[in-house]
Amino acid sequence: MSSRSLASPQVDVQYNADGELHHLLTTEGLRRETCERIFALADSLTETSAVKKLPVLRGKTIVLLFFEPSTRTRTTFEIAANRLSADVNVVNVATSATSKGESLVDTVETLQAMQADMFVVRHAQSGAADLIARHVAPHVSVVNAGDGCHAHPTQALLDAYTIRQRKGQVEGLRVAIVGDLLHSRVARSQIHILQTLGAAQINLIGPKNLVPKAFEASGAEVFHDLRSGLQGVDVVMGLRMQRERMGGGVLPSDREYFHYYGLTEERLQWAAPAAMVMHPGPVNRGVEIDSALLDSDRSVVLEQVANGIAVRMAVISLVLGRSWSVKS
Amino acid sequence: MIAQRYLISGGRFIDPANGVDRVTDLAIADGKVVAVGRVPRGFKTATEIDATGQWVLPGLVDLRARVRPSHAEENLVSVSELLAAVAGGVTTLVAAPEDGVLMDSSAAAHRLQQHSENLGLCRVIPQGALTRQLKGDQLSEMAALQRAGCQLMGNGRAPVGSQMMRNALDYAANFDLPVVVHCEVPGLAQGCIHEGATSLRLGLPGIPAAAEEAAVGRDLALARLTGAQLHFAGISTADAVQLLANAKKGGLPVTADVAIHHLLLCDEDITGFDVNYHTRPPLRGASDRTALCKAVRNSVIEVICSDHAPKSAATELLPFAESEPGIAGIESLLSLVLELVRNRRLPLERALSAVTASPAKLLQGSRGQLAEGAAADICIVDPGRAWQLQPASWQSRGCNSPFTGRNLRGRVTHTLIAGDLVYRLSGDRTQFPTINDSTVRT
Repeated sequence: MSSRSLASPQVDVQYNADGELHHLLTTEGLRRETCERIFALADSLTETSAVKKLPVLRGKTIVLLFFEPSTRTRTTFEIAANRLSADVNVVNVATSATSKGESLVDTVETLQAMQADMFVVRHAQSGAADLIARHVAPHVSVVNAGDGCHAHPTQALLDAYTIRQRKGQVEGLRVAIVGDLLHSRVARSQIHILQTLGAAQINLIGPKNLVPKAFEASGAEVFHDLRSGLQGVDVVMGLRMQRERMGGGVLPSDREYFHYYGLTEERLQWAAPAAMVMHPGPVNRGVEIDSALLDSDRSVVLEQVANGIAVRMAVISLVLGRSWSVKS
Repeated sequence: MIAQRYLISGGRFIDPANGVDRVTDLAIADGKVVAVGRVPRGFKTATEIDATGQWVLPGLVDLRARVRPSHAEENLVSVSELLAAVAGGVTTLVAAPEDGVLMDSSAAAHRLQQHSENLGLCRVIPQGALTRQLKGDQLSEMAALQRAGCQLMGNGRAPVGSQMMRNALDYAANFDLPVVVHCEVPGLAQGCIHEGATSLRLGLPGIPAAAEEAAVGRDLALARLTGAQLHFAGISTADAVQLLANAKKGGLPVTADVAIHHLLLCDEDITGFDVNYHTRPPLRGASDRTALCKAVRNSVIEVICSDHAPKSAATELLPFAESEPGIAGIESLLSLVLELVRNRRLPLERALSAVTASPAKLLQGSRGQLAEGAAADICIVDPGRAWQLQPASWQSRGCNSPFTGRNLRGRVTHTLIAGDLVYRLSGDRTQFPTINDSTVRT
């Protein structure tokens, strides 16, 4: 690290000079052909689920660097990396309030000395993965597993992949995202990828304090009324409500939230006839979605989890420059 | 040191305070301007500075600049930052009350002034702490601080409750002490970036413009109530400008300043997580920037400051929200002001007044102007000279500037303080004739 590092022009750090994906930090600016390539790789994996382990990344070291607790994302990344035969190290860094900032770059520097080829990073601060990507050695890749309220690109990729699986394509679809958009890194990444893949319309639905009108600068449309926002949509994506925001600080109660914004089979009638329901998990039953809808065939929540592994395998191998071809 | 006699010849002499703008000569002796135009016979023995094609201006007065980098080992003044000041044409600056040593005792005020005087570079005026340890619960000994050289009082960015602020303003008014206020309602200002499309895009917590508007509203009401002289520091929003304009129209004698970066940048310039764009108050919307330029043009905002806040490189390694806000900018202040003039955002005379005569009005003495008899604090600038802003090669130890790599036009070539030549640009080499120090970068 130079002692007087200069401000770099805001270049797209995700792609290298040859136009190959070197880091995956955000879906903003992620090219459509990159998404399609990831989907194609994931396809070939799901088709051959009998093959549990591929020798693609033998000798590669992947460090899962989690500054924030996570079960689902960490586990699926771990399984994905293992199935590709990479050596996986999981580092859970408890962020103490005193040394939050220092520990981030310091930890990365230390771990880099352990010959890591890829860092999969989750951090509570927006921009953390971007910061790490700008400071690792040139041959090291960074995959963002969620940074603050900013981005969660692999979740958005697997969501788009799941939509594509059920609906054939994302192009031309009308999609609603319901819930706490303000604090959601998942929603931000979904908006970008849906736009890149040609969704016809994106409706953002929720109370005014969680879905500010200024979101419309993204090209999506804001609704504070569930019924008008769901009108005719093909896909409904629920977002997780953080319990700590429901105790009166931001919203009066989860009961009142569900009354106006909870998804039920009845309310899904407002959407298009074969509308599908998604949720990044973990779901608060009876807050974002009622149980009956969650367990119905409209819901693809479990498919999302399964696709999470395939899509993350695809991302890891693409970023590390090793794609495979599976022959039956 | 005995001040030399200088003859500055052939330059375009611009002195906004006295309404002068013409090509003429300046004679300097005993630290003062002895003649403008009619140079006395026998003055030929003086050292001549040929300023043909250049502009000769009063030395800049910067109301808000930090005199030491964050986390610096020095606890008072860093020579690097005073070298930066004179390299930027700044001859007088006001140090913030929380800058380095806490400015809440006369001893601290004396030490700061003594130390900077010994360096013989830029004049440093301490801003006294409005409350003890800036904690906002007890008044400082303002009158003692005033006697010790503090010409302004302020609480920095530390919040002051309404009742305490009322007391402080009432008390300061006894001594005709101007009070500097930074306006932000703390409860509304828990973010790190202007609340709007950019904060939503980046997922960073926003600070709404209303956080400033509400605080300006309170302090204007208190100015009316107490009759104290208030100076609003770092105004950043169109709404606050409107409140100030109305108050001034109603005859309230308040003043205001804006940081140079708020006149040039807005939140749309923040495309990623580059911490060089992290400022407090945050870079606002494009329409706010337009309103701020207009306010400077109309003198609703009288003063432009550098808000110089040098940071060590280590702070760049933090995520945006955790990084320390601020921009190092004292060396680029005048060049960026001239850019606003070139882009027709500001007329030349008003722009120069905003960094010389207008800030000087808040201070004692007769700085910021160059009538005969005035202290010879002078800045000579080559208006056509192109240079590229590269913090790696400037004097300040701070390398935090969003203007890095920007091509600028207009560069300070000479700075004189009390008739001493303290800075000279010779070719591409910067020289500090009064300083014999290995820390100087050339």
